Amino acid sequence: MSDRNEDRLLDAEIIKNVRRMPEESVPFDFSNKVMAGLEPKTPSVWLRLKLWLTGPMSLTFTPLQTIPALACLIALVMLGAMQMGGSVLDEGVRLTTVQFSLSDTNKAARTVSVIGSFNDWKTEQSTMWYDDKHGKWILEAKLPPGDHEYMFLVDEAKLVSDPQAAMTRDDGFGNKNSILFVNGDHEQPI
Amino acid sequence: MNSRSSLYIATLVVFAVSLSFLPASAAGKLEDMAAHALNCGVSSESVEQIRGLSSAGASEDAAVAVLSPLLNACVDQLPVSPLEIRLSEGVTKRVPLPAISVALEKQLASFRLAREILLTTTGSLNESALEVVGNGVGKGVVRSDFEAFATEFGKQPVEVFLTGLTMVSLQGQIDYDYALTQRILEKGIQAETLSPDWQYFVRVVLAARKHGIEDRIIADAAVDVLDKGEPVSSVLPELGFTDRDLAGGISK
Amino acid sequence: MDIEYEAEIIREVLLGNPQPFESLVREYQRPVFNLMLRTVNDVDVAADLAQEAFTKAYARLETFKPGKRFFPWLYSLALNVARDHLRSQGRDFHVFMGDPAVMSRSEDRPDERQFVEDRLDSDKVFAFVQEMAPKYREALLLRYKLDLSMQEIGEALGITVSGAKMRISRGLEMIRDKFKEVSDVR
Repeated sequence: MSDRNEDRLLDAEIIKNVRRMPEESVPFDFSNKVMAGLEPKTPSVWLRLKLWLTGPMSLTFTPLQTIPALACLIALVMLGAMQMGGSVLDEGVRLTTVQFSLSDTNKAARTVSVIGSFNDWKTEQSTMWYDDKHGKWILEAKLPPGDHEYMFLVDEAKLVSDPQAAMTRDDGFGNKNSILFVNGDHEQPI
Repeated sequence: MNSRSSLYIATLVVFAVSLSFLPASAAGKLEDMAAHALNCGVSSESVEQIRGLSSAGASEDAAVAVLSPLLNACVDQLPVSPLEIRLSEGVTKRVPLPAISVALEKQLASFRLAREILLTTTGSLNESALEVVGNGVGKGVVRSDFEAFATEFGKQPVEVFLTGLTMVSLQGQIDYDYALTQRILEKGIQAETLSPDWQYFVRVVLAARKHGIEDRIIADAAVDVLDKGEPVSSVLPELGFTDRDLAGGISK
Repeated sequence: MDIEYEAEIIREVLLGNPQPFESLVREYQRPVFNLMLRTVNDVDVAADLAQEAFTKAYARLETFKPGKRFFPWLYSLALNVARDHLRSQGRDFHVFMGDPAVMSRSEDRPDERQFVEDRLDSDKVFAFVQEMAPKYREALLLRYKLDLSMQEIGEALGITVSGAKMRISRGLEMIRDKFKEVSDVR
């Protein structure tokens, strides 16, 4: 019997045994203990909306009842956020939900959009909406993996960099683009 | 042939040649170029965008100067879409057409250089690698960094190669010494722990630098984490950061 | 467990109802608990660590990307809990401190008769696997015991797909060599 054949047979035996390797049972009340330590979550308005928008329709939860103040803005959000990416797996490309925000406590701006490499620098589908409670403009979007450049366009006239961006890059036209890193595979907090 | 007829022919030749230098009617030229561009594979959106600029009052020559790098990229089989995105960027930002044209030509030159670098080091041309290197040289990363990386790691599996290449590009853009990047990559590749998560390690460098940590110390921490096979998110904690320190400014 | 069913559970939990999480706990408690047992070799400490892993997973559920299996993500979190525990004890995750004897409880074996014939060999394999460095051991178990894909193993261990393949083939090689050393085969 050749060395390699023998190795292969050995491997098969080893694999079979690994498969059958015994596992200890967990202590009998393990899951109860785990559950006892868990508090119900209190999702933010945004998360509720996102989950409602991206989930199957067979839910008992109906957001129009629980967040009446936002009912009229759902349409706007759908235009802004949903059409940018489709479902989570868009033709095999994993899309990650990100939130753009620009602080504006006095609501000095009339309109704000996000323009960037991911939307061809077009303003049509990226209008932000104003969150009165937190005094900022917000847009949620689903982006493919990559290092995306973007800026805020204020009142269709002024270009503003994102003060919160981790990295900036000269755009070659006299402005500084902000950069957003999106890792495809999993949540990647640094 | 006697000298008079050869002089006559020479004059004709000179005349014919000089005719070709006369500018063709610019509108005709733009349309001609547009047809070639569409035929090659430049997106109709971009072509329309340029046509639109021209009919909105921009000079025909300026429009041609913007379309030309797109067409050349396409014909040379270099990436066109990054140039198209750059064009849109310039238009939205209301940048004068000549400046857009210069930027596009510069971008095209970067891709040519990138192709040369990859072919002379790895001997092959991966589209993603081309874009990464092209963007990198265009943003100031020195070619020797890419050459050194590609020479040393050219034989790695594609996924690993691209991760490393992205790190060289992004870290080079913030002037992180290649020798440090190289050390990190060597450890990650030797230990087989350089997962795709590491491609945006530049974020860690930026955050750590903000707190005054030296580049060399950041590299030491990264090497240590890679050696242990831990994820990139372990580097900042390894340097002593808590969750509270990290709050603020990190987009998902 | 079906990916879509898991996604449904996670949505419910994120919307404020913790109860469905118990299904996930029950589904994956055994492999997580066993990972901890291999790490610390003490049933009580292992149970605490396993509980910590699930509690952390619950806390970070918002960061889980739907569309993939829950287990690799959970396992990667559990590995971190195990590592952190060892580090707090001043021990290195790479140095194994286990006792092969703990792993072979006869009441857990599915088919006693089948085991009688190759009992010696199985015991040896179990012992070798138990003694191995965690980085190879976990890769082998994830692959052959828990049937994860190479991609998922990479995700769970925080390494590349080719790294995962390498670890598995080296792991097999290591056991093969030990086996040859110890038994009469060549």
